[in-house]
Amino acid sequence: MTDGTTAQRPCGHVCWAYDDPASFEARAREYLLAGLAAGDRVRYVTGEPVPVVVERWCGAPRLRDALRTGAAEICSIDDMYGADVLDTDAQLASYTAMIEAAIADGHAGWRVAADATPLVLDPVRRDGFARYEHLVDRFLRARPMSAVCGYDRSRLDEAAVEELACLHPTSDPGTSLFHLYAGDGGLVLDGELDTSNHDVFATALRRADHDPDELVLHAEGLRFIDHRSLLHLHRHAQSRHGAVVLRTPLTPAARLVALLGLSGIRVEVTG
Amino acid sequence: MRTGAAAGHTGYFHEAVLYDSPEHLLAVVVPFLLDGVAAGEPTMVSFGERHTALLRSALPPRSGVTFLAGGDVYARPSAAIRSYRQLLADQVAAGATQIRIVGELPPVAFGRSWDWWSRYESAINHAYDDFPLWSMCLYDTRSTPPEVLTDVVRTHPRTATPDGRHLPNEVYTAPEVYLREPRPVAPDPLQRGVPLVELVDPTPAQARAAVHAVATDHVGADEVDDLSVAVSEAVTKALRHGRPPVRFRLWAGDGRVVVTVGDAGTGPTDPYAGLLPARNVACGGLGLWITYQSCDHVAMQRGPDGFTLRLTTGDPNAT
Repeated sequence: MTDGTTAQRPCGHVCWAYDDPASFEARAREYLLAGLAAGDRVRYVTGEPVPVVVERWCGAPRLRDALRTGAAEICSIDDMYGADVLDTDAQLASYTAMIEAAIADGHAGWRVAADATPLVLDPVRRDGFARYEHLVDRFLRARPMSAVCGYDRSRLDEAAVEELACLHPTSDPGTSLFHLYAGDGGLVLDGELDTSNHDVFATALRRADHDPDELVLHAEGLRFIDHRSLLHLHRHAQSRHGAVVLRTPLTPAARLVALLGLSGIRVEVTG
Repeated sequence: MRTGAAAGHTGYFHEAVLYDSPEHLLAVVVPFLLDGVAAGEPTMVSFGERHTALLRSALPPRSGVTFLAGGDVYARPSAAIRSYRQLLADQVAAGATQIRIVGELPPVAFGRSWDWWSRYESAINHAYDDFPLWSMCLYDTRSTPPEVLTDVVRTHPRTATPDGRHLPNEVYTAPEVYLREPRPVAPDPLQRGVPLVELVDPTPAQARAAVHAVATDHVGADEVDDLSVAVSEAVTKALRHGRPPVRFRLWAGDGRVVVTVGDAGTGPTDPYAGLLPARNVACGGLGLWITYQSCDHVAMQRGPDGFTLRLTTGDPNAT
């Protein structure tokens, strides 16, 4: 549980969108096998009955061995997240315990692949889970834990997947044009913001911005931002912080902020 | 209290000076400026190098006339309007009852980009009418193309003459009318070739990706970024307010990139579209205004097939 360990986990929180549960499981198995190879304890969280999945996984010797030794676990969505409203604090506390146990048992860390689709079918529950997605993103940054969140495109529309995918540092191509996630002393904003995702950006900003102090957006990986998104950021900044700092190599962002007189945004153009 | 020919006038007093010799130019401009200084009015000049030197030699030392820094105030019409409106607001806030300005467009404005400068000359009758401004715009009748001079007398309510008269231009046309007329737009030679990229109903992101893929080889990185802003706004506007299909075409060569974004609709109804921002920034409607400030030339064309916006980055007069 050191920063050095965390630094070796560049993609600690990933979002996958799938059309076929079997393809998600196959991909998750590869992901978890890589975790085992790296010395992690791994957990697969499924909506299927656990014994059915265990039987299937026991067909693969490496997974069968890992399940027997406790290096790999399969658990149900209810066991992982509870059947009721998600208690974020309790959830993160349980992760801390799981990580500590994994380390105590000689593992390098803890790796989870979870199909979270049933938790976000209802819009109200989805809002709560999206806020949790950002909190867990912050949590993961400082701990030897990595996680994949899977969402079923056949049960969720594109907009629902997009509003969850954008809160991860990385997500499958086509799920979101931008990402807003936890960074050092602020949030990281990358990708492209335009009229197609203006509402999603507004929602993501509301969910991810918890700090009443000055907000710094590390937007070194931002490839485009349109004036509507800047206007929204300006209004958000004025209502929450007074001003936000936008660190970006995009010179047009600085020009648009000056042109529109957006006092809520201070652009720092990076090299 | 306003002085001179504009005494008693409310708002913008906009004149052309159609000169054919340095003597003609000085006979109109020198008294205009010195009378302004004598009346205590902010009195300014925005000339190119040659006429700045000519005028300085004709004015007395410490004349009180302010020579505005050349720079690129006339690089883009919408930026010129923004810059001058700020200057005028500052002067009024400081107590000015009249501001006198004499200026000239650089000769490059009379080339393929004249259409947007003619729109500028018309639009400022409205855009500067909030201020007690008396300005003179100089045009050399010996070197200015005749079609440009035709537009000049249609966009300036009056012409100032060397004998001190201020003659109404009979053909002056109010901006709300002039700006709704179809303007001839000179085709860019690059458009004679096959477009390097052609997209139908692209998303703004797809259009930006096309710009980045091709324009990078022809113009600088900052220009590519600025063109991406313009293209994104143009495609967004066409998808939102135009009629399908939206057609995106891109040509590049000779140090410039030309993009057209067309749709089957009739284009913006606001005669000042692109030149002035929407009144309420918070309500949006700024896309075309931003487009106008992110390119080296923007042309609007209406035809039987619909409305087309042509964006140029790089010298629009290059061949």
